[in-house]
Amino acid sequence: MNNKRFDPPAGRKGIEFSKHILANGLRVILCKDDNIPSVAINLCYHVGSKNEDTDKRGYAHLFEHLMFEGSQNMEPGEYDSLSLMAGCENNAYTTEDKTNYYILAPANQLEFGLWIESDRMLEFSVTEESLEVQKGVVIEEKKQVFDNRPYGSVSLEFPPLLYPNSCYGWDTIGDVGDIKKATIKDIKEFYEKYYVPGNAVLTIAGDIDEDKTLRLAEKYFGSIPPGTNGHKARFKDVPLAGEIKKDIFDEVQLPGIFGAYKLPKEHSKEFYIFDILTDILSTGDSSRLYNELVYNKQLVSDVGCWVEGRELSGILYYYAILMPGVEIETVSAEIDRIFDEVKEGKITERELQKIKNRVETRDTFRQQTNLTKADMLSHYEIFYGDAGLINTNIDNYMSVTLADLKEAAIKYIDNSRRVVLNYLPSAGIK
Amino acid sequence: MNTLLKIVSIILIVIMTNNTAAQEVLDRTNPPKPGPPKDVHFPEYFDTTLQNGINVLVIENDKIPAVSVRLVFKDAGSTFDGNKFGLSSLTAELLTKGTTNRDATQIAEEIDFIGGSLNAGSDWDGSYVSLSVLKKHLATGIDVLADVVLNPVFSEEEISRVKEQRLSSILQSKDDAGHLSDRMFNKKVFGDFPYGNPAEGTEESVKELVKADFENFYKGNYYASNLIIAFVGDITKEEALKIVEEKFSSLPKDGTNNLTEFKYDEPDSNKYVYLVNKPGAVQSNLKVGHKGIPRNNPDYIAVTIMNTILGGYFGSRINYNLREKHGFTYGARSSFGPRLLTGDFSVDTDVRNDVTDSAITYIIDDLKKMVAEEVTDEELETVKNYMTGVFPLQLETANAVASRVINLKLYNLPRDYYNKYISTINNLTKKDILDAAKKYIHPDNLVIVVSGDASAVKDKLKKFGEVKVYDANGIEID
Repeated sequence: MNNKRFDPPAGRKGIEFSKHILANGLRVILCKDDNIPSVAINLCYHVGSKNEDTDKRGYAHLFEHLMFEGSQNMEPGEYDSLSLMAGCENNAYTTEDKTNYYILAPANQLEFGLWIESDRMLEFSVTEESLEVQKGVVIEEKKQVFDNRPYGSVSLEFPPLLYPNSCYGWDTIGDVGDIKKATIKDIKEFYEKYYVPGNAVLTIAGDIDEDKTLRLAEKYFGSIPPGTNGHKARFKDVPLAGEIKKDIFDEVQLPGIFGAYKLPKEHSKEFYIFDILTDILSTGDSSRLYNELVYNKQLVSDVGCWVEGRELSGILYYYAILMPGVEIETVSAEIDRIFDEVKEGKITERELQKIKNRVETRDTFRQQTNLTKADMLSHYEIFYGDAGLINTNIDNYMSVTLADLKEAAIKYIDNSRRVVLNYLPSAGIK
Repeated sequence: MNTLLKIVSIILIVIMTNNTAAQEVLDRTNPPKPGPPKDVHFPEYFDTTLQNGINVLVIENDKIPAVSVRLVFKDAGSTFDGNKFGLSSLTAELLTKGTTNRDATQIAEEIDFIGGSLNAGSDWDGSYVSLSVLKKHLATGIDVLADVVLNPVFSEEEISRVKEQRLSSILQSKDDAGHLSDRMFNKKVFGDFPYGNPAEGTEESVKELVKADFENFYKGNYYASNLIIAFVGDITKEEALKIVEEKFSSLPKDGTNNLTEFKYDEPDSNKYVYLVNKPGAVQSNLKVGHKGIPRNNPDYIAVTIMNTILGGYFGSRINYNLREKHGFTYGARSSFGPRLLTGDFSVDTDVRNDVTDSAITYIIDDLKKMVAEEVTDEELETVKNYMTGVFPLQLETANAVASRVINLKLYNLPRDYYNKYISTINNLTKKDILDAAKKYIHPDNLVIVVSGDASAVKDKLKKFGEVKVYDANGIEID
């Protein structure tokens, strides 16, 4: 086992943690915080929808559901019933790049939490019946989150247009047809490939004794066979050949514009630049898009833009929901004009400093809960091998300059390489 | 400020461990025994009422260098809208849209520049203004906060702007099946009682609001003896009291509001199924329930445990039945929404169209079972362990603690409520839970609301009563 201790940089109040690597390759991060008698156990696997085969879209997320349906020593339903009985809260989520499980346990149930989490890394056991029920649950999840919600299909429309023929070409919810045909064999293969110690980071944050906790982590996870780390990235990006525009008729009262530009990946220099730029444009009532379009011109009821960082790519999304009677063309032109102003270098030093101040606040508030810290430590470790980014990442924001904003905007906010979805009320076509 | 700093201490230790030793002794078949439970203490807080009637609370916690200041005007929620639906929430919104010293843009700019947030809004039980900033920016934040609370101008231009925004959001809410169900349900359960009205307003009510309405609501309901100010985070009580003295002492002691009586008439609800038509919907949103309890009901904790077993958490009967057993839905829950005067109780879920009726049948069966039989020992023990186990998480941030302290004051709960919370939970018996179910769940008098595609689900619903069909505006169409 290999251990490292990290303290926050000198002179700065930050997060102390230690990092250990078990013989089977599992990385363990410990972060003590005795504010409340509780611990967050976060287990992050380096697998998401981008690892799926093109005829098995949605399996990573379906798999996340199935992880609650039984393991070597756990009958279906027992993961939840036992963890509730132990006074724990648990949940999980899946992205394009990772699948993240957590359990929040009272401090005296730490060992329980490690036992129950390690059992499902040790051996997976799902019945045909559970598989069928969870397929139904996932299909209803898709309807509730995407199909039956105004503008909800946006996140299904974007990926194939932004990333044709690529592993980012579908949303994590996947394809109903693919999900329906999933077999136990498919699921087992997925598990054996990706749910192995070397492909995971275990972070334990909260009211712990670090030595004892490390021994317990070793006790429950150390004996799990290493397996073969099956993670491989098959991403190859092809720049868009031109602007893609699509009109979508939906059950909505008001038209909406949804646009996207591709960016460099998360944790690239450009990612931080655009994270700041999108905040300048749309965070807070004094931001450019809000102030000009919602407040001054009253053209839209809601407007926003943000970056979505992925392991191998990034996206700048923007959207606007129009006020009644306003034309799509008017608002599109206004948004383009505001983006053009950025490219012309019209962002001021004060706007930049404003967002740096906001980043500082955000960074401070993120240190409040064990779960947020555990999630961030796991995230930085699994993708960048550097959990310490939790303390140092802020420097990547603070070093952004006005020249960076202008240069990056010119390069990446390129209207000949973007996707625009215009949502129109279907009632209007009758 | 943004100096680049370096990691100063990295200690590298390498330990070789023997894996197989651990493997031999490890028995994974049973959950490990818990250690001795650690005590959970509800944090101490400072609570005083000044001469002008302002109730000052200080919840001190220096874990992070940040402060939140939360103002609650108690009798200033949507309950006090009268027939001007939306008035309370729009009045609150307008506070940050211009004062005698700053216009809306200046307010936004000042707060945004310090990386802070300043929000105002209302719900049924109060109007709220809250500031959240890093400690080093507290003085600036307080200046703006006090200005918006004391000197709002309600300009015609800003009134017109917030009204247009609100009308657009009312229009958009017609797309949301859950919202359509909520509106219909509240109307049917509460009738003309304030909780039956739409807090956000209607197109008609919002259009009619004028400057005098906002000014009167402000004068009537924003006054010192109606105010709780909570200071939360990295701040001492001395600092907090000084701020109140310097910044808020000019607030008038009393307001002009004299609305105090609210009458509730029991509806005759169980004859109909209320179906809000949403053509083309691929799921039905269900809301089934009736009137609930006020927050200070002495049985509240027993009701919470009972509801948790019924539908209040992932392991509940209703979620198990509809999601884990039948795969009808992504999730189903039941909840009591307790407010000052009374509250609601409902089961909420979204299910696929073809099982809309089966889902309602299962829900009613679960409600009937709840009032007919005691819960099992295992169900009760699980919920007790869960609720006491997650209690520390509800105290993890200073703001989460502050919300609870504010609730103690807002709902007139005893000061030791949270100190006794865990022992109250642990003392409840299966009989207490059954008694609570019998007293507060009424399976024979349910309001059943469905938002979905009438052409696909109407016929299936007839078994529960005569089906009345409405459009998204709440107009009966069939």
